[in-house]
Amino acid sequence: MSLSTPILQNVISFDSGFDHNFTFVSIDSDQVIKNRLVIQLASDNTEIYNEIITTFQYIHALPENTLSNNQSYIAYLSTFNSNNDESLSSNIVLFSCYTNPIITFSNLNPDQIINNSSYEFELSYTQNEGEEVESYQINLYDINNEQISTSSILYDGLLKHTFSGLLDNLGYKIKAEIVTDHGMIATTGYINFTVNYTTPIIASALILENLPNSGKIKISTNIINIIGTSNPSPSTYIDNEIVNLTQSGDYVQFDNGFNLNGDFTLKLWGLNFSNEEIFCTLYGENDTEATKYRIELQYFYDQIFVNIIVGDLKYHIYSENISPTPLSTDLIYICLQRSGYFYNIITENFGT
Amino acid sequence: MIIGYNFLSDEDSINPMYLDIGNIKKIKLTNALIDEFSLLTGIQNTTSIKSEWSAYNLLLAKFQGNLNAGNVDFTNLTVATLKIKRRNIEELNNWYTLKQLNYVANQSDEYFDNLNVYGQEYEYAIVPTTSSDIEGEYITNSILSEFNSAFICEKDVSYKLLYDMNYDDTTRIKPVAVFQPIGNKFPITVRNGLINYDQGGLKALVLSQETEDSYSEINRIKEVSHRKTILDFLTNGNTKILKDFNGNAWMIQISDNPQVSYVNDLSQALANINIKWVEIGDITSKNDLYYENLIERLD
Repeated sequence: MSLSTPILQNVISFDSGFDHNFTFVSIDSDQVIKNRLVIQLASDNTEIYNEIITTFQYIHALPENTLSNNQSYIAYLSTFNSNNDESLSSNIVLFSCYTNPIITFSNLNPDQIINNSSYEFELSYTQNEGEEVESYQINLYDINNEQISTSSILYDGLLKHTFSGLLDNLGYKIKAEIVTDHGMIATTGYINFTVNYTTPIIASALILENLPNSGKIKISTNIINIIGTSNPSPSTYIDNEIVNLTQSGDYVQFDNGFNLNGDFTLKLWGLNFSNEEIFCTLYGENDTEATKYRIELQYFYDQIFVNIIVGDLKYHIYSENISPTPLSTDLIYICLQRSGYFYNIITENFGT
Repeated sequence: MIIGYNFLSDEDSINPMYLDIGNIKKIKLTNALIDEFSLLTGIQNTTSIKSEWSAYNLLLAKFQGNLNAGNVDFTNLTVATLKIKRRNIEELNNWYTLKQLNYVANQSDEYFDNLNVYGQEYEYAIVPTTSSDIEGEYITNSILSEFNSAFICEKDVSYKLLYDMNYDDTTRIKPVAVFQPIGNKFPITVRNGLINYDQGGLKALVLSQETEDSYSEINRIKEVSHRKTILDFLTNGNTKILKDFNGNAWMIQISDNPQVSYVNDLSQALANINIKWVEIGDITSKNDLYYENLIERLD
């Protein structure tokens, strides 16, 4: 055998400030024990580098800062066998050096808390010599580095992508990678973040229905947003579970977002009812203080009275005695039903 | 009285009270510590077990540090819009925003999704969103998409293609150059580029809803206007979805002039419409759907 002509492999642009390995192949050849790499400026063929290194490997390690960024070069390589015979020069490869691009998330810091289930991740890209981004990709991972979602490879140059459906109180990782016009690659590495947001909660059903004759899916929902008013405002709460309306003049009122007509079932859980006082009033739409159209629930010596008042007419029914006799700390359940002109009132004492 | 615990317990319990206070639009609570208050339409069970919002609830106040009594908790949040999102059930996180609706308090919403593919199970979500685009919790439900013919549709319009429906052969376009070098026995093929799409055609008898509903009587005036509407739709230049109940679905543009061939046996009362189409995007690609104006948002 003899030394064959080596084939120097294509060189992707790299940053001259770092070591770089030039790789080659040598087929049907004597054992290669040394290789010589020659690098010249592409503009005028000025020789910049011409060194022999001893290695069995098919690489030539170029030391950092041998070349300069923002320059184009040509390179070729020859090999040596144990007799110190030198092969013919390889093919010539043209390449350029550029400063490594830097890619970061412009709107995300490590361990940032995102207050949204949807977030547009934006990238910031810098490269000293103005190298352009050819493509980029942003991947979303769970905390165990399992990929959850990806932007896929994008060529739009926008350098941003929105991931939605991020779950509350979970940790995620995100990583972006860009490829420049000359094939340089930069990545942000894994960036941790967590998601925490105040969630508007919808309890209404989301109803889906196939419409086979129309080829569509019908999506229906029903959102009801009712916020009461109160005196005092804000109301006083006990353990954020019970509203305290025991002081004279205190009340909570609901007067928007609903319209009740016909039959109904009213349920109320409360305690410490003031004796002989009205604790719940349902007002008809024509009610005034002068002419009343209302239903009143009144606590009256361990019974609940239901007063139906229309103008000067007043009827009432009342519950059985609440049993056992309530203490002021006992939680009382009251249920009023109306079916047509019939009313039903029941109570239950849960105790303390 | 409804027969309940206090049946016959007072002198008026068996007497109906013919007093009507009218519609109730205001409720006031006072003079007690109130733990929870619930108002339901109709006669519901009288159980003392507290329950979550149901289809019968008109109002449910839990007084957990606020005065919310609806089925949403928008405390300290101003909901501006509702996003309607969809994903294929097998895809973990690939939500498409189909539509963004302005939020109007206490208003029911309906939306019709024309982009569903037969046989695909979807999960839909309603997402309340603030004006600063903070999304709330996803309220989801899933459904297996099913329909019974072929349809050509845009985001908000859909036409059924059922009668005398014929597909032309579809062709997968993938250009290949064949070179025949002098010294070779076999040619060399070259496939450059990423071009790879379907094209085809179809022909269908289109009927107006009036004719279809009558089963036998042809409403000639409606047929003419219906055909004109479809032809305007086919020539409006918008990207469309062609889908059928075999599970085929393509994102297409009409690639040739639509043709109308009249049924002369019926004195031209009915006609077939013949179109050629070319696939211009991936129906599963969020980007393609967005840039072809088939979904409203890219997020």
